[in-house]
Formats: sequence, C-alpha cells, structure tokens
Amino acid sequence: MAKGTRSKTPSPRPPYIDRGEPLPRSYAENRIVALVRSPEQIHLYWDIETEVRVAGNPQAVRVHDLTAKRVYDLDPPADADNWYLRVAPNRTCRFELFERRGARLRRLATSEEVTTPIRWAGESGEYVPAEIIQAVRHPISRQARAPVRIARAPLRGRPAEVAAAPARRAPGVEEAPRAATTAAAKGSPPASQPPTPISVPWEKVFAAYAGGK
Amino acid sequence: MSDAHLAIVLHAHLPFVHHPEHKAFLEEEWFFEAVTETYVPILLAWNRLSDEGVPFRVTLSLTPTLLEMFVNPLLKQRCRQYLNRRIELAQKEARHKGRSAGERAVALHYLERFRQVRDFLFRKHDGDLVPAFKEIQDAGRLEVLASAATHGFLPLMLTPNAVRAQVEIGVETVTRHLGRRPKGFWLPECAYRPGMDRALAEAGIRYFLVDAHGILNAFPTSPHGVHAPVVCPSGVAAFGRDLEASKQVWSSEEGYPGDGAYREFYRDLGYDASYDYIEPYLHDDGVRRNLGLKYYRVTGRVGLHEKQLYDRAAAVRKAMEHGGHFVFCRQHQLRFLKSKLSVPPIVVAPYDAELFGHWWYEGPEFLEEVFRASQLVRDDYVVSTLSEYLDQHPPEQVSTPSSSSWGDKGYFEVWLNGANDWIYRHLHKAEERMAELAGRAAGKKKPAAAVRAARSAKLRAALSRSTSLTAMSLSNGNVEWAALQQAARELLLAQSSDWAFLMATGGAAPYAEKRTRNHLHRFTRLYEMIRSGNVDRKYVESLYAMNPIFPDLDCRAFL
Repeated sequence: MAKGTRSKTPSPRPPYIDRGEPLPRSYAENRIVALVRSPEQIHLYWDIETEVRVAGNPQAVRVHDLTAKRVYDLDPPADADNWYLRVAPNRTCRFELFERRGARLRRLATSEEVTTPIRWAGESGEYVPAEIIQAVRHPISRQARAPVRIARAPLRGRPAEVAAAPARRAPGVEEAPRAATTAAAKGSPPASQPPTPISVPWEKVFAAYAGGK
Repeated sequence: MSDAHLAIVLHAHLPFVHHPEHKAFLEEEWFFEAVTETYVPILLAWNRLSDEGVPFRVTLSLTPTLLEMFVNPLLKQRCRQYLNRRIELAQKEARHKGRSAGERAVALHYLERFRQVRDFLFRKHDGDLVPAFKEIQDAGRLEVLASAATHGFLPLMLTPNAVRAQVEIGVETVTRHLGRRPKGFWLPECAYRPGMDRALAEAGIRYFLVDAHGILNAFPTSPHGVHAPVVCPSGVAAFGRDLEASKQVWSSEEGYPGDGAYREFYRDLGYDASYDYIEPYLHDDGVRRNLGLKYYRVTGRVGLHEKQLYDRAAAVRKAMEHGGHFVFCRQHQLRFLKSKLSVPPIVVAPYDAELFGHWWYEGPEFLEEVFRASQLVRDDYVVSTLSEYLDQHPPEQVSTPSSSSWGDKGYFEVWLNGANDWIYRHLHKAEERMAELAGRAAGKKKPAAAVRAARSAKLRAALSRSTSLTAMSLSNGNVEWAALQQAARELLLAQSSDWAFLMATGGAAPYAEKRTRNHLHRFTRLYEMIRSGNVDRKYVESLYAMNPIFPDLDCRAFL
C-alpha cells in the first residue's frame, strides 16, 4: 500500500499466531515425574504406554510421604496427565503411578524422591545450630572466633531410617514390566545415593542447643 | 582500610534471538535496546571511573547467550542499522518545529547518546563489546561470572547430565570469550536445589549466589545470615543476596527508580507521535511500539497524560544524590554488621544489569556515583568482587542452602505453573535422548581439524571465517558429528528459562512457545535422523545457520 493512502491505524489482519511445531502428546511410556514447585507444592506429571491408554482404565497416584510416614492415593480425572499436590514444607515424598483394574492396582511407574524446602528456618523444630555452637548462643563472644570445623554436613536433617525405608509392596499390587522406567532413568545416577558419612556429634549439638534455651 | 565489604553484582543476560530468515525481527530489538541503553552506558561509566582513578570493583555475569550475540556478525550489522535509524529519528525530532524547546532539548540528548553509543561500539570496538568488558576485566576491576549455557532453569531439569552440560558449556563459553576461567557462577534466576553445587564443583567453580532465603534457610543455619558466605559440602561457597540493598534499588514503589525526576519508561514517542510521522520507524506490521525516545519524567502517581517534561540534568543530579544515599546506608549497615558479626561482613547486592539504563535510565550514573562515593567511606567498607572477599576470608561455615530462586514468591512458581508446565515432559524426554546420543559420540574422536580450531587462541577470528566445528564437520563430511552437535544446541536453546518466564508473564508468550516447540521439534528430528543413520546434511546446515551458537560445542558434555 502506498504511504499516502495508508489509514491512520493499521487494518486489522486475521489473527494468526505462529506457536511453532507440534509436539507429541505422549511418549508412550510409563513414567511419573515429581517436581518441587514451592515448600507447599509438588507438581506431578505422568505418561502411560499405549496399551494402558487403549485399555482405558483409570490411573491412580499413590503418595508416599516418607517424612510423615503416611501413604494416600490421589484419584485424578481419567484425562488428567498432571497434578499440583499440596504438601507441607520439609517433606520427602515418593510417588507411584497405578492403573486401576477393578479393585486391583497395577503399578506402572515410580518417581524419584523429592524433598520440599523449609519455609522458615525454625519451623517444626528444624532450627539446628551450626557447628559453631558458641557463635549461635553468644553471637559476638570471643569463642565464636575459634570455630570447630567439620568436613561435611548432611544435606538435611532427615531421620536416616525414613530416608532408607524400602518401597513396600502394597497388597493387591502387581509389578508392571520395569523396562520403560529403567530406560527413562538411563543416564542418571543411582536414584538414592547412600548418605554421606558425617563426623558431627549431632546428639551433643542438640543437647548443647537445648541446654542453652 | 576496612574489612567490611560491599559487592555490586550485575547479571547481564538475554536469550539467543537470531533470525536471519527474516529481514527484520522484532524480538532481536531486545538486544539492540540493551546494548544502547545498558551495556554501552555502563561501560562508558566504568571507563570514566577508570580514567578518574576510582578503584571500583564490580562482579558481572555475562551469560553465554549474550556473549554469542555480541560476536554475531548479523546482529552487529542489524544493531548498526538500528542505531542509524534512531539517530535519524532523533535528528528529525531535535529540529521538529512542532516540538517545544524542552522536548527538542531532550531529543538532542538522545541524539548525542545514540551517536556516543554508535561511536563506542563501531568506531572503538568494531561492533563487539566483549573486548570492552575484557579490557576492564584485565585491569582487575571487573570479575566476570559464568552462567549456564542458555540460562536453563537448573532445578527443574530431570537428569544431572543436563545440569552438568549447561554448567560445563557455560563455563567453557565464558572462558573462550573472556580469556580467563571464571571463578564464580551465576545460577540462572538464582535458582538452586540442594546438590546442584556438585556440578559447579566439577566445573572448577568456587562460588555462586542465591537469594537471601536460600542462605537464611540453609542447613545448618548460619549465624551470620546473608552477610557471610557459607560453604556447601561440595566445597563451593554460596553468597546470599542482601535484602536491604536490593529493595532500595529494585522496588518500584519505595526504591530509587520511582523518583519523580527520573525518566518515565512507559511514555514513548512511538505512541505519542502522529502515526504517519512515526510509521517509517515501526516494524512491518505497523503496530505502534516503544522507540526509545521518551520525553517525560515519572513526575508522581499521575496518569501517563499528566507526566511532565524530562529534565536530563536534574535527573542526573538526582541519580548522584541517590548514589550518595545508597553509600550512606551501606556505610551504616556495614558498621552495624561489623559490630555484631564475628567474621568480616559482606553486603552482596545483585541486580539485573538491564535495570540500569533500560528500565531505570539514570541507573548507570547512579552506579557510577556509588563507586565514586564509596571511596569516601573507605574506613567503613571497601567495594570488592566476590572472589576478592573469598581470597581474604575463606568461609568456615559448612551449610547447604535451601531450594530457592529470586523469582516471584521465592521458589520455582514462575517457571512451573499452568502456563508453562507442559514444557517439562518434553524437555525431560529430550534430556534423556540427548544423553543417549552423547553415548554414541563417546567412543568417537572429535574431528581432528576441529580440535585444532577449538584450541586456537584466535577463536574469534576463526569464528568470523566460519571455521567452526560444525562448519568443519560438515565440510569434512562428518555429518553425524555435526548433527550430534546441533541436537545438543537445539536442546540447550529449548531449555532457556526465558521461554517459561515469558509464557508465565504473558509478554511475548506466543514467541516463547514457538521457540520452545521449534527447538524441541528440531531436536527430535535430529535424534531420529541420527538413530536411523540417515542424517540430512542440508537440514543440519540450515539449523546451524539459524542458530550459530556454541560453535565448538562438544555434545559429550551430556554424558
């Protein structure tokens, strides 16, 4: 259009928005992935094999709250493939994806363990003094200038027996072939690494802190 | 000299936007605007300080995508065109009879600024800002941080391989451009998840930064709060963002940038001028947009039509005043901290570099004044880079920071919500497939000619002659290697946290979605080609031409 004849406002074009190439809806494999979103939320997404999809049975998600030692099921709508789960801060969870076959459940996939962060230092008895115990109790005292050094600290104060709790098989649950899930985990390191040996006398630290209150 | 420290940390980043398939591309202007309004003005300010002999210290992250854009020939050429067009418009405006004398004076300021930027960029530095940053780095005033290769959001990646690849390729790219291995790492969006520091340790990184609550909620709790770094079990140190210094600058309500004397960002000539007059400066779609000529100041809490004329001299005076105020606040804050902490305190003040100049037009002058005025309070604190602090005061507190980011609400909400959660299943699948592809490359030797090029010190020259590894692999007939590299490139580009961010904020959501889908689609096509042993050479060439980034990428980083 010649410049002189152009109207003051551009003529509206049909709204074509290029949103790019299509992506597959499913990768036809059994898997469930948990992503921490915030101290109170975990996002789950899952995918299922074609045979399972064709069978049309509803899926269920089993939540293993390893910190609270609690297990419960979610029943998402049949067409759902993701979920935002409300949880408490500082919880370690693992998730299992099931196919419901009448009253029976068939496990399709298991997620990695995830841990929600704490919301505030100090909540639920979380506050633990650092290895510079004196510095916590007397922040400006001279003792603080001579810190006790340790080699490594644990990632988070999680009771070892909970962290190491084996995945128990629920009654009425049969295992699905694991090929898909193990293939999915290829290239990643072992799911749960053994806890690092710690040289910190935690009992003494706790006692010192409790005594100081 | 005091042993209390202030560290100003700037994070300069833009996603890689390069569209040779179009004559002009709207989103490429993000880069031209940032160069014109932020990168060159801060470099000019730092050069002024160097000339004055002010011993300033600054820590700056230049992300790999930004560095690759600095050296890109097409973007250089388009940036020159962009500046020429702006100069032409500013010239017209400065002589425009319909404008008031005040408006013409502001237009004259823009004319001067655009010319100054063009001269600095194209006369002094041949269109490439990397040597300009390098010069200040080599003078010992600037410490450049590495960052993830394409600013991928690391905590939401599925495999440690993908995190490692982002870190490793990021560190390599920054080293290649700046000629020095970075000691620190800027985690994209300050997003951290416990354990991620291991990938940094493997890449030889000494420290990284997290938001304040990352340190405040660290385990075990540090008695020094954010005012001293902690050291992660992997041996990498973590600094926390200082809330006070952040808020004074960041907050649009209480912070400095909201002052009435400063330039108003949202009132732009692109919307004010008559359509016929402004039309030649708009994009092909003819939609009014910001043109970077803004004649009004913030004024106060008034409507855009009630804004008053911008007074450049008064705004600069105000910026200097605020610089002095910032220094005064840090002086008293650090005096207090020194009296309370058992270790030498540090206030870490990280900001988006683009805040200074682009959003807050007088920001570079403010920063300049902060460095200048800090000299006067040397007894209370010194301005340091983060590794200078670490050299003098190695951290003793072993602790693991908590998961956190500097986004809205402090965790991963911005990058994982209803608007963008669909991307992760595809990204995760691509991560696994890339690890599989890298396994194919594991047994192979990097093409010999290419290795020589990668080791060559004059890589930039090599780049301009287009003798990159991909180009050479293609010419050598090693098409599979080139395809493997390109697959890694497509995955990295899809991983940019910018896309998820833009989808969530709605700004350029369709473009962000398109970029994510296209990169993932191309990745999948390459994956299938490589697996079937039937690589289409032309396809690989065309993809590399579209996104010539990381020319010497080694896809085995994903192993």
